[in-house]
Amino acid sequence: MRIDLRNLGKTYDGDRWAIRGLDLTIPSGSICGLIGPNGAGKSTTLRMLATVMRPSEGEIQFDGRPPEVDDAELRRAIGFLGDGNPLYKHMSPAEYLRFFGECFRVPDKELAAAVEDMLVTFDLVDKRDAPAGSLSKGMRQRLLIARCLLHKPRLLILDEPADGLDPRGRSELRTILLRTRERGTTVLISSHILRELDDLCDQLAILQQGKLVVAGDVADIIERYEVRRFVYELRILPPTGPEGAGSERAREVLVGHRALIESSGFEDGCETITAQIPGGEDRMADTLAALVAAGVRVVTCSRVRSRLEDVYNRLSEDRVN
Amino acid sequence: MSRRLSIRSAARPFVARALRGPRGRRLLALSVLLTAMSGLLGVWLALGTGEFERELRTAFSLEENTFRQEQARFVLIADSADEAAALRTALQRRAAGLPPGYDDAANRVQNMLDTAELRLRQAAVGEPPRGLRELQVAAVRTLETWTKSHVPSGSYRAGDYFAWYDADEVRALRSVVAREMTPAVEIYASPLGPLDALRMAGVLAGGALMMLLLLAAPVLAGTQMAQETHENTLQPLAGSALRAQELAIGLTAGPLAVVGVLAAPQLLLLLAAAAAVGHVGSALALVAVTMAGGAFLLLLAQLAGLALGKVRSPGLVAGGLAGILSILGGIGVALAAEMSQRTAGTLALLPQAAASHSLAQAFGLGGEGPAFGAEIDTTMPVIVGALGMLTLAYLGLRALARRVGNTDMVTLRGGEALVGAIAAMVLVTTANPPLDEWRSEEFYLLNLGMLSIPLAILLMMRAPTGDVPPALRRTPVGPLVGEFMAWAALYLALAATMLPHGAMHVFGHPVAFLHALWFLVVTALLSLRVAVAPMTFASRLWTMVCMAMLAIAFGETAVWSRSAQNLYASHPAVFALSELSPLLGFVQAALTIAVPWTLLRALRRPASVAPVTVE
Repeated sequence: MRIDLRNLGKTYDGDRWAIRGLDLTIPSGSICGLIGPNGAGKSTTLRMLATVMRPSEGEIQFDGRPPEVDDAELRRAIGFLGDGNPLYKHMSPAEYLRFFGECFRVPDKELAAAVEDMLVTFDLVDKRDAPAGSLSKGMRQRLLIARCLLHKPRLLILDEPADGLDPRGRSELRTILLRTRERGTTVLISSHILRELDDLCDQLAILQQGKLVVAGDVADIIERYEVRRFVYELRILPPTGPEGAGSERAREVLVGHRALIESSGFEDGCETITAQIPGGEDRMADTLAALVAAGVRVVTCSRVRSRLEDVYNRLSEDRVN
Repeated sequence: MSRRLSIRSAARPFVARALRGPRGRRLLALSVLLTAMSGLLGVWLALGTGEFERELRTAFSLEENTFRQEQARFVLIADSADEAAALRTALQRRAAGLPPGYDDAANRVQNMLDTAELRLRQAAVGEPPRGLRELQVAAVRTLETWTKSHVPSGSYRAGDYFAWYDADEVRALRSVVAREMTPAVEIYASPLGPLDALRMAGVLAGGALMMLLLLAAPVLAGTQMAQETHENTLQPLAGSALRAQELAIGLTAGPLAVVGVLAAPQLLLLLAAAAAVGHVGSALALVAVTMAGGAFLLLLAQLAGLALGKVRSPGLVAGGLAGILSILGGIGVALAAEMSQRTAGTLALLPQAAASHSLAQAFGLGGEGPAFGAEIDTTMPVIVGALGMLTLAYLGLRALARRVGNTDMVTLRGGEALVGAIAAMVLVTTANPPLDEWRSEEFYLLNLGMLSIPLAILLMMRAPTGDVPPALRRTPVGPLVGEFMAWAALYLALAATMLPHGAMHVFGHPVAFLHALWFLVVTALLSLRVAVAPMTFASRLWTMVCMAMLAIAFGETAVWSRSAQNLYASHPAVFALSELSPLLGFVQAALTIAVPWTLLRALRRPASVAPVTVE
């Protein structure tokens, strides 16, 4: 499902705008990350996209058509996880999923299998009959995400889905989202944890104080807003003899050229050193020549690409995480 | 999707949720238990011989009290075999001419014989009706046998009159004569039989049905709605594939399913008992009234839960609803129990009263006395009440759908509000019909005052309050106040058709008319103010001042609406408080201007007090 937002805005008090002037296009079948600090307007935007809240101004189009009033057919194609973890504490996961399956008009023949599939996918089989109130925070979050995927939506909107999930749960969520995209579902996800979105999203929108700062393809954005950090990774072969120059010598040369060593390790028979060389690529060329001259057996020298977090930190006025 | 299928599929998830797993089984068990209790309690109350159930039967006029039974049948009723034996012994001592003992049994025997002898002595003198002369002769013969002496006729002493025209006295005398001054001794047994036990079970089932549909269902539905709002679980439902109307139906169906499981066997018991020993028509009227009234109260409670759930805990909402509905229930039952021709119309307004009345009619509660209005024809108010409640319930469902689905700025559309206003007018007019020309104010003015509350609620539902911040809303104050005034005018026109020409004195004096106009305009403005603009502590206080001023204005309208002759005699002041002190009069005059002005001002600038919420 392709989403087009045109001049979208929402105010709760008629005075301050939670989000305003949002123009964004999310291609069908993509995973779009919505990032921004608290109060940037992410949740408001997602609620409007889920059609549970009306924009104060502007328009949203789903596959080129605006939603009708009380558009149940459209909502049937959307899975929305809002903030606040609203769960019925006395219902078990199986009952909860079945209830929402019926509310989303999943056919009777498919419902039992769909519920079972979600319980297995989200590792809730052992807790299928336990009251939701007795589940851990992570399990509750998994149940809520399962509810959003149960009816196989064409648009999946997740507001902070990784909240409360342990590392394994986050990794599994990533796998599930990638699998969901493969089905052609458009996924819209907001998160504070940028590393999770880094190689998951192919589209990105950064919001700041109710306004869109930047949006587009993740690779393009990183390319466009490449941070001039000049971090390089060196792979060095061990010295051939006891007098040969090894990693110790390499460190001395790097420090001598005012390099900041970020990390080092050993991989495939080579020493690896990641270092920040201030002053541009000329400085790196000089440093590399000095290393070779010092007898260091440099195999490769490659520039490390900036991360999403670096780009975000550069663009954002407030820090997150 | 057809409408029927849509309702079914909308209700199904919520019904399944309400009755899921062991909950359904537990409810079923509770339902069976409650029905069994109705049956067992009915049998116990009808056939039990204990003091408590005997008093209950006497209180409900199902049985005469023990003293009257003893007098009527000339028997001594014992509570146990031992007591019966003591009474028999005392009687034998009395028959043998031995001196009476000093125990309770001897006293009872002595009192019984003394009363019977007095009754015979009174009957022996005086002139009885022609048909009872033989009884008088027999009484004289019995008395002579008892006293072993001749009884002279014709001489009167003070208090010697026998009440020959009192059927109870005559029956008692016949019993004394028949038993020849020797009372029988019986061990107490309920005078009611198995059919009466079925009747009692029917009454209890009807009472349980009323409790379930008029109290439990609204409280449960309102509390669940408050909980959905309070815990934000309504948002995922609003984002599901259910349309707003379907969601409203589903949210209503869930609590109704719970109550339905409990009520269904009670309903069957009620109808079976009515068919066997009561009046099926009245029982069906009870069912219709209870269902219509229950539907209205349930939707009203849901709307209240939806509005209050954001700011109050579900427990508090439940307590409030239970309190209000219990009070209404108490008033309804009391009104039905003490019904007169004048108050019969209130059955249209209070479903609890109509249900109590129908239940009494179905099983003949209250006997031949005036209790429960047994002799009053209440068909019209009951039917009007049921239809009115159904109309209002339908409007409530429409309003609920718009609010839970957030599909519209206004809760009710113009036509719907007009239908609601007309329904309210019909109900109020049925409850308080016109009396006579000289008391016309007790009809149209009192009704206008009562109507101002439902009309104000309808106006609040007409105000734009959807998902748009107050500052961005444009409240069409003029048209909405005009709509309210049109409803009031429609009611007054309706009332005018029911009164003789010139009986509506509110139009006969400009001061009365201006007070009435002020009352209506300020009621409309205050409703809109409460509905559309956020309330602060100060604005709540000011609302109370406005309400006090409304009460004063209504009182002044009533005073100035009396006939010219009465006004000439009493000389009321234009501002009533000035009669207490000139300063208070000045304050009232100032407030008469300040109240509408401040309300209008608040309606035009609501943003200044709007709360801020982001994310």
